[in-house]
Amino acid sequence: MKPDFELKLQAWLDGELPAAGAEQARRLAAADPEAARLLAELQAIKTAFLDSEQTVTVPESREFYWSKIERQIQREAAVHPALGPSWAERFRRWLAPLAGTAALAAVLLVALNQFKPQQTAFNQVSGMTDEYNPRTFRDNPSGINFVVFQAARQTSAASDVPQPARIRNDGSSFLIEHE
Amino acid sequence: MPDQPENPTDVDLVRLAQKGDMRAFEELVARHRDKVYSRAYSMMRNEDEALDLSQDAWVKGWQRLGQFQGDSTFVTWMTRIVINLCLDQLRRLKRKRAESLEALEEEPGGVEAHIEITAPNPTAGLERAEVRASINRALAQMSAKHRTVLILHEFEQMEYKEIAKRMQCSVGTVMSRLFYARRHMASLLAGLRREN
Repeated sequence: MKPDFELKLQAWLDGELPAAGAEQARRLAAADPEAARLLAELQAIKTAFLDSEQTVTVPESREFYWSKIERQIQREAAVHPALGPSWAERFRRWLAPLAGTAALAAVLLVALNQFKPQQTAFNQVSGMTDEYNPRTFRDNPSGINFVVFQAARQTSAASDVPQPARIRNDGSSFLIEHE
Repeated sequence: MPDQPENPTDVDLVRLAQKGDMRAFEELVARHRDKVYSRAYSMMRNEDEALDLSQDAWVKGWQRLGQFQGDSTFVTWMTRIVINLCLDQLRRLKRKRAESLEALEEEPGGVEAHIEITAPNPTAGLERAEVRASINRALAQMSAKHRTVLILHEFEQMEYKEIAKRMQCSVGTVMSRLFYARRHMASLLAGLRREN
């Protein structure tokens, strides 16, 4: 029997031949007693393997066997931190600290904003023109700025003494406005 | 495992392990360690090597859990990992062997090509346990290449093409190795039967 035909017979047995090849192999096996005997032997071996695998028990206790695996996982994770159970898990591990840091920064920003002095009064003063004649005084011990301004059109002697009309306190400075 | 169901299935445990739950993974190891070890042992025929390779397979399994999509069962997926590790190890061992021995093993057909078919069914009349033990003993006497191709085809139900891919050879080589492995197995089983 030709080696090619032997392999073809086997492929037929294993269901690896297309329909046309299978039919040819079947006809040849039927016509050749030696091929039929070979086919029977191959079939017997194939059948003998069914449900014939022996399960071998691990010759170590569950705890000992696992402890070695766990140590190796930890060792390799220390060398290659990116190795892990899943991409999602890895992403979560990186994202969680990042999100925490971002949240903390946001809280700090809001808190700092709360205690930041309002600049409204200074803006108003700085935006005023000379016609209001602004004058600034600073009380160093208290750390407070006093800004006094007066409309330029007031020219009488009595008007030299400022008469406060409105006082605004923004926390670090008083703004005294005169009519 | 706080989120673990009372009687978790493999699917439940895999899902937990994929989230990083090592205790769930330990349970999977406990359930399937014999199966994974058996496959390594059947291929390597060496207890120490089988232990090392099966443990390596579990470590790889943990590291690649994110790639497990559930297309096969978890234990099938793990078995494929240990098979790949065993094939790598067999290739390393092959490189260490002398060229002359390698050439002898690679000879197409070898002795088996000329074996007469004396008993078409060499396991006829044997009990299932006897057949299992005989196959186990016969596998131990075969070359690594013939043993491997038989294990992948008969136990793992792999097709020729997949075996060729894993063993890094042609489909023709797989067919040839499988044929002579079966013929060798037949003669070994017939011999064991006569001994008994």
